[in-house]
Amino acid sequence: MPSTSQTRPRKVDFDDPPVVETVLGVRFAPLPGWDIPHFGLFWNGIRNDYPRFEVHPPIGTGAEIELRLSPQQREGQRAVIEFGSGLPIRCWFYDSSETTLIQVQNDCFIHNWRKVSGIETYAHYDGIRPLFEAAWARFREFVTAERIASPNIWQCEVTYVNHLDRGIGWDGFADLPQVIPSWVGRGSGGFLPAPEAVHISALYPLPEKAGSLQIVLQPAVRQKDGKEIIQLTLSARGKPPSSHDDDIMKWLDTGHDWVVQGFKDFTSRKMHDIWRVKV
Amino acid sequence: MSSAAPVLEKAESPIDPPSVQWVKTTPLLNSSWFYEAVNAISALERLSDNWDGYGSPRISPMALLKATQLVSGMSSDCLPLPEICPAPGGGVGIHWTLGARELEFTIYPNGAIRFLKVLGELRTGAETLEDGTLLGTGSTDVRPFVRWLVSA
Repeated sequence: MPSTSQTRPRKVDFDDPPVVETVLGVRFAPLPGWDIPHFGLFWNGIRNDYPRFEVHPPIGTGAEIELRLSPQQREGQRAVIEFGSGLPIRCWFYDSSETTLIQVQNDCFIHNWRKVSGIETYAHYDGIRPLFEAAWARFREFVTAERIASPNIWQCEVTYVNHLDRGIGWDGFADLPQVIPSWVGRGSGGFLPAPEAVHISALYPLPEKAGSLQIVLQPAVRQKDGKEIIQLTLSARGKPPSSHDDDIMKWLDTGHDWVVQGFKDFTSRKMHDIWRVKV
Repeated sequence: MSSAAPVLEKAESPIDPPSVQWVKTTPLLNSSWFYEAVNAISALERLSDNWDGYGSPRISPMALLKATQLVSGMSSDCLPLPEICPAPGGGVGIHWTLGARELEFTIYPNGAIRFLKVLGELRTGAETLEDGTLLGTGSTDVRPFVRWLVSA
């Protein structure tokens, strides 16, 4: 039975949050027996909801990509690129509105939601969670029906990508202390001028060794419209107590709580007002 | 038999590492020149009509977008800061000079991009020219130009 989060009160809520993308995902040990045809067979079952696909290189899982030269390799021959996790393929399946995406490779399953036009309302975790849960259930059913071993989960992930457009609450990195209270922006002796750009990466532990929350702030250019932004990415990652769906969803709920509360704590009240904070 | 190691060629495929993120962005701190280049392109937005005294309109938003996307496609390469200037008619010009090689992109107000490659012969003063239309601004589209520019 699907678990529900609809009754959970929102701990953080904004009328106009800067979130442009959410990621809910699980990583698991490479599925023995999973091969190229399974991508197509799985797509066949979800094609009504996710009619479009793309093929991409796989996401590294720690093993990353290796460049390996065989002992027999002679001068002038090219090196072979080997992928640590097996199949060098990740398939994207997305809906016709291009707001919802499922990413599948032989050792991970990821669900993305993103803003496309920029004017649509953020779907909130209450709306995104059931989409992940339903898609994950279909994937589980598929691997069971194909007699592939049940995924052995080693990591859950909740990521929120936020875009802070230049001109809305900040005009240059001298303004960063008004966006991020923990960034004071001053040296101890007054020698350094205001920075031209700042990149911050911070890691916070989750309680009971449940994982960690990573916050990355980086200046960037959004490719769609060429706008200069601060991209603020919050990612909660950790291992659930077991590979059962209840434990996965419970971990994602915890990860989500840390992402949204961490976001509110990391950013300033001035920015909260711009985003029209409700809770 | 020679024991020399095989030469590894740079991949033609996208240079960004695979990521779970769907919304595409280019980090501004990829390389030292990129941040300054984006700032220089942004500054062109402040030019008003008749900025050149010859009736040129202000720089078109499409030209600014394409110029930003163009330098984004080169952002992870170690290059000198290009000269970035407004182009008559509301476009943007981007120009690198590296040794005997010059690479120039002209971005037109409608977003079309023309390139000009100039290879000078230092000994004789002769020049070889090649020009054409740039079909896209992704890293795979612009990498051949980067490779040409930094070739000895």
